[in-house]
Amino acid sequence: MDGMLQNQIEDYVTGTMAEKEKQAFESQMENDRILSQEVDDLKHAREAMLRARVRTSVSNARMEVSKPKKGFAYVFGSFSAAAAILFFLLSTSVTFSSKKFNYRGDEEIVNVETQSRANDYAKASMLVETGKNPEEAIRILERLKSDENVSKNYRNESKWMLVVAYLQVGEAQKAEKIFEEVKWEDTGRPFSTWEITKIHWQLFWGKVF
Amino acid sequence: MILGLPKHPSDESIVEGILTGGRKEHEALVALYKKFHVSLERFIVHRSSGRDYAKQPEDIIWEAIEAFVVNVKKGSFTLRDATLETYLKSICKNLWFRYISQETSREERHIKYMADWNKLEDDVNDMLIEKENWEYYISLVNKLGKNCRQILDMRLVEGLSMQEISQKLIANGTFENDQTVRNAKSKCLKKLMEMISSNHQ
Repeated sequence: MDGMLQNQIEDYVTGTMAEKEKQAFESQMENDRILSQEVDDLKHAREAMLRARVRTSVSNARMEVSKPKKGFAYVFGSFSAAAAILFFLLSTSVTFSSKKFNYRGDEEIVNVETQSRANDYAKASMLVETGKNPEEAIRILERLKSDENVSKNYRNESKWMLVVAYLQVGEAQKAEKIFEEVKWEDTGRPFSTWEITKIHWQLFWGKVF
Repeated sequence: MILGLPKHPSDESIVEGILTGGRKEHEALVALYKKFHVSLERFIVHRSSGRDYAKQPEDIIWEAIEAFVVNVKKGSFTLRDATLETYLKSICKNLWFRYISQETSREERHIKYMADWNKLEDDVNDMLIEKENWEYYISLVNKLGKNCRQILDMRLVEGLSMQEISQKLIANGTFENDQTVRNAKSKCLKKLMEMISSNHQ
């Protein structure tokens, strides 16, 4: 078979033959059984090629869908995201529940000094909890922690609040000094374990920077 | 710039992607699977006896996708016929029943599936029988070398002219000149036709 006829058969089978030429070719086929057979054979070969190609495409799509999700980048990304969330949470402000000042002795009669200390304690608690004016809180709490007239429980409570207040003003070393002193006391902690972890974390980075 | 498929592609854009070929076809196939695999898997599992078969619903789904893509390429499926989901479910059902009919005993099949067998669509069933018959020819194509497959794909499937094929293959360094490309195509086509005709005889 000559190259030109072969080309015509291929164009016809692939549907790329011009309409006018196609009509002439179809008339030629009607009168030529051998040509008609050649066309059928090539149609068959074309469909085999098409099906083989579809199988490859489908198999590639299946491989993409089945492959493990993004591999190292996915694991690394998940780890980074989890670490970022943890670091963020550790860097949030320390929350605590301070004790309500409990007057010693007869609650009906409270002397002026006791009332003044109770007011100071309440004010310092409020300042530390809200994070507003920690300098003022430090002044009050430094006084309360050394006042012999205040019970040991409330002096320690004041120390705990001082740790937070010093962290709020960025004085990590002073915060750490008081923290080391008060963490061994047996008067209880006003913080959860998570909050204590946050204090450790913030003391560490406070000293680094 | 070739735009990718939308995040939630419609049936029309999936069919269009398959007909476009190349990267878009790949995206369309992935999107097709992601869009329907949950409902298809449920559909197949619902028609299983609970026995552990060598073929999983996943295999049936991909076989159905392959059969569907062939029909789209051949122009024997249009969205006027059915929605993609209905069409794929119909193929899955037929594939699954054909498979378990080979796997299970006649008695078990009779009890569990006979009622559903009557509902199998004849045209889909014929299509699947045809698909099985083509397996041998696909294996013949897979025996062709890489260059042969590339040239014949371009000429017979994509319908490119010999001039276009030569330009591409010379540009990417596969062949040196136009004549070597033409010679290779003739040789490859002859080889394929011989392999196919030897099966006919």
